[in-house]
Amino acid sequence: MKQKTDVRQGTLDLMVLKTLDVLGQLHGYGIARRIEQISGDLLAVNQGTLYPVLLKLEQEGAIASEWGASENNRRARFYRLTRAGHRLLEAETRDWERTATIIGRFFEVKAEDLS
Amino acid sequence: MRVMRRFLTRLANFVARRKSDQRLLEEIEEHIALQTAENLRAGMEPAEARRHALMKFGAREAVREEYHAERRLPSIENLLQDSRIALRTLAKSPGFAAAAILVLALGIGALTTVATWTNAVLYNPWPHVAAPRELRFVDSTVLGNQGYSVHYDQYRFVRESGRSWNDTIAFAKTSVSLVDAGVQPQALSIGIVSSNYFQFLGIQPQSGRLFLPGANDRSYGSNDEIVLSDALWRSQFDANRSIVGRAIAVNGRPYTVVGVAPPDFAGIFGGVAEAAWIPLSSLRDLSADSGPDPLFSYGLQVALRLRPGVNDRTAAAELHTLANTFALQHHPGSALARWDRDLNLRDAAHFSRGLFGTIGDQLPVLLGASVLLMVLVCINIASLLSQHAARRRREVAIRTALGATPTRIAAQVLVETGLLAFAGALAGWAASTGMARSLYVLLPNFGVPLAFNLQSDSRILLFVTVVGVIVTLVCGIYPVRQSLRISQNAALHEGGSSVTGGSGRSLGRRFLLGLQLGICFIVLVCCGLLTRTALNIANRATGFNRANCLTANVDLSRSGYSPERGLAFQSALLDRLRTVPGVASATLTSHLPMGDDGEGNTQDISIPGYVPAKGEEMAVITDFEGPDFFRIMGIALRQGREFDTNDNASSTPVAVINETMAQRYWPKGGSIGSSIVIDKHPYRVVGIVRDYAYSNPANADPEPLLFVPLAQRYASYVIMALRSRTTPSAITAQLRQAVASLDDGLPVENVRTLEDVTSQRYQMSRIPAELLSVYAISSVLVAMLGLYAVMAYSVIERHREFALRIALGSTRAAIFRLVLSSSAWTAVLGLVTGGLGSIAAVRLLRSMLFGVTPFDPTTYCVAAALLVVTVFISGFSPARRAASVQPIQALRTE
Repeated sequence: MKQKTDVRQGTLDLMVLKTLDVLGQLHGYGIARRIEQISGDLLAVNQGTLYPVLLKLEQEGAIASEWGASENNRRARFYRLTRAGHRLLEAETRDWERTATIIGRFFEVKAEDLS
Repeated sequence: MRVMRRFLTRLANFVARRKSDQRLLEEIEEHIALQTAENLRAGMEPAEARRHALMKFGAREAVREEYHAERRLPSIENLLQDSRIALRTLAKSPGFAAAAILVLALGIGALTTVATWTNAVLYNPWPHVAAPRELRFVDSTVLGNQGYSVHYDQYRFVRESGRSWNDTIAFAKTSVSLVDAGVQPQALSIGIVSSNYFQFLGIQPQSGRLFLPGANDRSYGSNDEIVLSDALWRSQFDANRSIVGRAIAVNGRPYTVVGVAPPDFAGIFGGVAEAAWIPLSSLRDLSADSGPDPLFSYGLQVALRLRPGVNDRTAAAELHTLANTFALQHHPGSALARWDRDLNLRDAAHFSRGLFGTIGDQLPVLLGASVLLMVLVCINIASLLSQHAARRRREVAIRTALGATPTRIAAQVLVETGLLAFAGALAGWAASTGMARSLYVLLPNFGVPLAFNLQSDSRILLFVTVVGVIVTLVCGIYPVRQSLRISQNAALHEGGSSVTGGSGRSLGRRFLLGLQLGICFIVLVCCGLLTRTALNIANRATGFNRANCLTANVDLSRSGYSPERGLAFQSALLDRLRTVPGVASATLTSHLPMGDDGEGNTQDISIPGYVPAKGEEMAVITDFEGPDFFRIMGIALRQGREFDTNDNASSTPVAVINETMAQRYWPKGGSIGSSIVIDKHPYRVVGIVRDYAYSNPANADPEPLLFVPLAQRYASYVIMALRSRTTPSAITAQLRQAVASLDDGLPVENVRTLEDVTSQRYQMSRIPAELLSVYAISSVLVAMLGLYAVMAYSVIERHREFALRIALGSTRAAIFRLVLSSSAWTAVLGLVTGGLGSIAAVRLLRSMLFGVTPFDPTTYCVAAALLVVTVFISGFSPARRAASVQPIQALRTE
């Protein structure tokens, strides 16, 4: 049975920020592709949901956007990380790593470790 | 920070109505183009490549929807849209909207009025006073009774020795005569206050200054200053600032106006409006015979503020200790003797209510009644709204079919309810500002001007808003549920499951209506009984003649008359009044029939030959009368004679008594010729008069009364009573002239007819009936509306049934009867519950009734008839609508 993977709330934000951090300026399609490649088809469907997230991040001031030319020479909206976005990414990354570490430890625990 | 920034951007977008659909569309287009190109590279057919790209992108409309939701503030936009729709819907049925708003205004108005009074009496009684809730008051215990005023020396002792409080003030109120150029001499109710009064209360003057806190209250005559209230300043001195620094005459002595108090400040003496304030040190000047140290015997009110961190119990304990110490210091050996009283601490509410316990007592009753009315209003408005919603079944179904979410549908209904609720709240609030003032009639007449802080302050506005919100939610729940049910069924086909409509739900509603009608019945019965009571009291013989009599009073001691001069003045005044053209007869008295209750005029007496029972108090109400008082008042003489001009200071002291007094103290007769001792002076009884309505026209148990000639026992405060040959108003000017010709600085107070004086007493018996009749009308109106709503609703629900019946040959008259008969059942239910409820309610009312039995058949029949008529009136229009159903049309629209 194929399971529909819904991206956890906020995770997509973090993915967008990290993608822009690593790759610099990108347009929407570029971001979607990157996330798709890295996450292993996690975003295979519903790529469109990316755009409201981009708008939200932009309104929060974490990213900025401007018009530019895409690889097939058409007008496309390019997004880049702002300074506030960098700070946000660092904070989120720390949070994420801490959570991941804690959860990771819980998964490693076996019954005999607790006795 | 981020959340804030996001919100601001969205708000800006919303305000600017910015729509950047273009940008998103372009981005989506580009995205899909890029994906298609990618797919082509991967070797797909062009058409297949684009189809895949579109699939991968997902639902474009959903993304757009989400994008817009992200961009602007959909909740506000929806709210505005819903409001526009609601306004349009309401405008389409103005009758419905008007009825709903009117009924809501009625309920909310009543509730807000009571809230305004509660606020005025309990929460914000004194505008401009700093931290009014933190004021504490002190009263004293005399012979075991609490609530007495405090002696000045005791106040000084408490002020100087107390450690639990920061500062204390002493104040009292009194009446004075104000004389000034260009102003008619008049009597004012003013405050006499310790010098730190204004500083203690935190009052700032609007002009000039207030009293300087350091002055010695006992250095009499050192600070003859007066502070005017805003009301007096405006009414008598045309709000002229140059009055500050000038002198005006108070009781004939000059007082310098030093300042004007802020608007709305009228002292802190219960609800009594004080027109001006003078310092305690001016007390000696106020009366002619006050002695060298008037503060020695003057009763004062005391207020204090506790030190931070001191609680009431500690302070009360210290007060008791101080009172005891003071008693021991001043009267060693006799603890707590007459002057030396225990002291009690009271909170602010006690004092603001204290004088007007009447309001304090009435407020919970009024509050209960208005809350009940509000509940009835809500029930009926909810019922009316759901009836309204039922008519819009098709609209809701269409909206659901077009994709409106349940939230949106619920929001739409709630917004509509909210609009009605707030329109009603606004109207109710506006009405309450007027209604609040009219409640002054509930207060007993103390003979002094009253002022409560009836301003609609922020607290009242908050209250009205909260009521509006509650009403919206409470009234909205039912129609919302109903609309959602319709939306769930989502069927476009009209009509429910059955031909006759669900009867289970309407049964519950009918039962509720029956209960409501029961309440209406109870209110109507109580109202009827009280109205009959008021009529009986008004028709009861008073024992004196109220018609065609003009009265007015003068206070001689305030204008500096000694008893000797006063007596001469009174005799001259009487002579002058008798010769005034148009006056048939004139006399003087210390008490008018049905004037005040005479509680203050009791005298301790003894009667030779009468041995009082153990614990019997030998005190009777004693009035001082001019010659021919009883003849002029129309009070019948039973035996002996009454006072004439020969009864004067040099003749034998005489007395007249009433029948009750004669029976009480001379049960075997023989009172005429006996003597009564007042202050060691014997007075010979020369006459007996019939009992008359002394104060309360409804009093069936008359009290003993003793009368002595004014010429033999001086009273400085006298009332003139003139019988006119024509009408009382014809001699008003002559009365003033007559007084002015003897003393042009003497204020003539309370010029009014005896009818006016007595009608105030009748008013007391009319007020409950009037209030209740307003309440009865409101509750009947509300019930009518509810009844109409339920009937109209059931007619809509059963409209197919009626169509079928008509199609099958039923006459329209039969349909009409069918609908009306169902409302008749509700009426029967109402009569039964109301009848049972009234048995309990009438029991509570028993003590207020006069000359009518609690189960007066006429009242019950009239109430029942009114109720039945009400039911039929509200059922009439729905029944007619049911009878006019066109079967072809009704059945075709299915």
